[in-house]
Amino acid sequence: MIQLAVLFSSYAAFTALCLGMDGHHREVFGRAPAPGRKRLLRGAGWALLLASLLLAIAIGAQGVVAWAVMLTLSTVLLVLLLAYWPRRVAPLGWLGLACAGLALVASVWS
Amino acid sequence: MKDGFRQRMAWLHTWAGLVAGWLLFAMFVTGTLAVFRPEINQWMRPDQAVTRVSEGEAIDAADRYLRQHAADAARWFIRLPNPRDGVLEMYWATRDGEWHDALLDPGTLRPSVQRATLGGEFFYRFHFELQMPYPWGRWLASFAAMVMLVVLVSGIVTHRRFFKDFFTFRPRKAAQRAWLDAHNALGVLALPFHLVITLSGVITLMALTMPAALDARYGADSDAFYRERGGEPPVLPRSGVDRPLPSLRPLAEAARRHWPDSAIGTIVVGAPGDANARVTVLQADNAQLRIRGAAVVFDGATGRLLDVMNAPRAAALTHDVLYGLHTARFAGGGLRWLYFLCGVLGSLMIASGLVLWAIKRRQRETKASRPTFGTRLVEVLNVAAVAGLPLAIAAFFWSNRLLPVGLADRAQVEVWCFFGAWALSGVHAACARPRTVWLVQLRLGAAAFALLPLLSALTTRQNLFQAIMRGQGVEAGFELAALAFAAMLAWSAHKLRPARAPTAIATRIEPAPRTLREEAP
Repeated sequence: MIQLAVLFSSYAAFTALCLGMDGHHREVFGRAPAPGRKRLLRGAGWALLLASLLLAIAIGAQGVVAWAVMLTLSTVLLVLLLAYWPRRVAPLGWLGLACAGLALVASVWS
Repeated sequence: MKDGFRQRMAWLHTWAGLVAGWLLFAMFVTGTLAVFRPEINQWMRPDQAVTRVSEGEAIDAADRYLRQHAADAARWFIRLPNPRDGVLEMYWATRDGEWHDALLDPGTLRPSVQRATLGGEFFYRFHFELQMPYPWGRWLASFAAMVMLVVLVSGIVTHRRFFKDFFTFRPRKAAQRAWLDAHNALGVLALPFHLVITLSGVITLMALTMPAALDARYGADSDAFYRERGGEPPVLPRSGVDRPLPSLRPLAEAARRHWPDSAIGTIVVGAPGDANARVTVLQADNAQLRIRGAAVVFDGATGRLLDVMNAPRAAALTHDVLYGLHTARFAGGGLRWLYFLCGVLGSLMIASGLVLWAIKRRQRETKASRPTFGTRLVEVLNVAAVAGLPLAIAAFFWSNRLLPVGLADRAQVEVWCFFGAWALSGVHAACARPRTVWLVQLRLGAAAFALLPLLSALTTRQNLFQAIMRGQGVEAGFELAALAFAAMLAWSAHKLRPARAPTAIATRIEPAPRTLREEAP
């Protein structure tokens, strides 16, 4: 379960980082982000990425290897989404964040 | 100066990538398949009968069998069944250095397969030996891996714009732009994987390719190095004094106390039945990142514990962890699929790079009516390497189902089918009309993989539907993966289909935008 938390949080992290870029924000929302929003997205992205790494470290050596490969998986999903269904990027990013939270709660619970 | 550097790196990336690309593509694809070596084995041996037994029972079975069949061998290797592969595998070397092996059902001690096949072993071996005699294949594979490192690093410099436009892929743009985007995205997004897998690949063969330090320090006695480095099961020459070998199971159980949470992988017995006998019990290789787990050495005459090897020094540990990261034997099911996926991305990155080379070259030559010999050669080799390899792999799987079980040299004939199909693809690529070769071969490959579950259902007692209903993960996973692969090939064929104009690829090329020209070498 905690592995899923790593995957989903890295996905949410990259979504935030991606939307923190002018070009991609324009593709998704039709306009460049305001400076404050951009800072917020980037900050949230890096923070989530760090969080996913910490979760991976908590799993152990295998977790860190899995984390590195999950980063690739997250970014590939995001690139395909941006190319073919740009409107889904933001909702799925939120969904990813929610799933990461749920998976984390579930893993602490059990 | 800065531009000069980037141009030179682009030149290096283009040409080194082209020269090694075909070989690297084959290595990436077979290496990716080798991630699922035991699972491919299982699919290719549908009549395999294996009884699930406990670790202790398997050790007893091996002990009994080897005492009977190889009592005076120089050494025994016993690879115990594990959850991924239930076969009891034994090798032994006679005193004249001749090797024998047995793949047995640990419950009955009868051969576990009737259908002789190399199975996933073929892909694993091809990945670093390229079907060449020792050591040439390993040399060539090592060299290709070193070129791959050069290509990766020069590629980072060449395509550094992608870091600025991270996440960018524009499939609807002109062909060259789309291919370039795809190539960049595949390369950069999986860059951690590409770098680690390539570097660790070079490391796995470093004793072969970089022996200078070992030679200088140890000279001809390379065994001394491995003894000092630790982790290798010791084998002493026979003393000539007979001493009965104690039962292996109690020794294994004593060793097991050093790693209560994981299984035993291998047991090596040197000089069994002699006063100099040594029994080494090795931890399973899926218990830790490093390729070698703990090992316990016993005196094989008295049963006394001699050594516990579990703490490699820093350099050996670094080597073992890199090696382990390369082979991913530590990985559980999920991580294994992620490795597989990254391997697919790497293969696609190489394929897209090769295609991109041909597109750019063709574009520069559009004014001349005929392509130059070099361009034509690259196009032919591209088709043979990228579209031909899936055909060869499909032929390998098809021959496994179609060749009669009792055929002489059956395992070898399967390999001939693999290379035969590959050679035919090359001939076809060279002779057929260029505009259709990609399409024909990709579609043929798609059909071959799509029909694989049907073929399997007709020729064996299992089928995909049953496998899914009964939850046979390996069989179902293999055939579903074949279907997914067929879909991918069909989709690529669809993307490459000629529209109205002369060549498949040239039609979809529009004048390059300015930004692209800046980037082109």
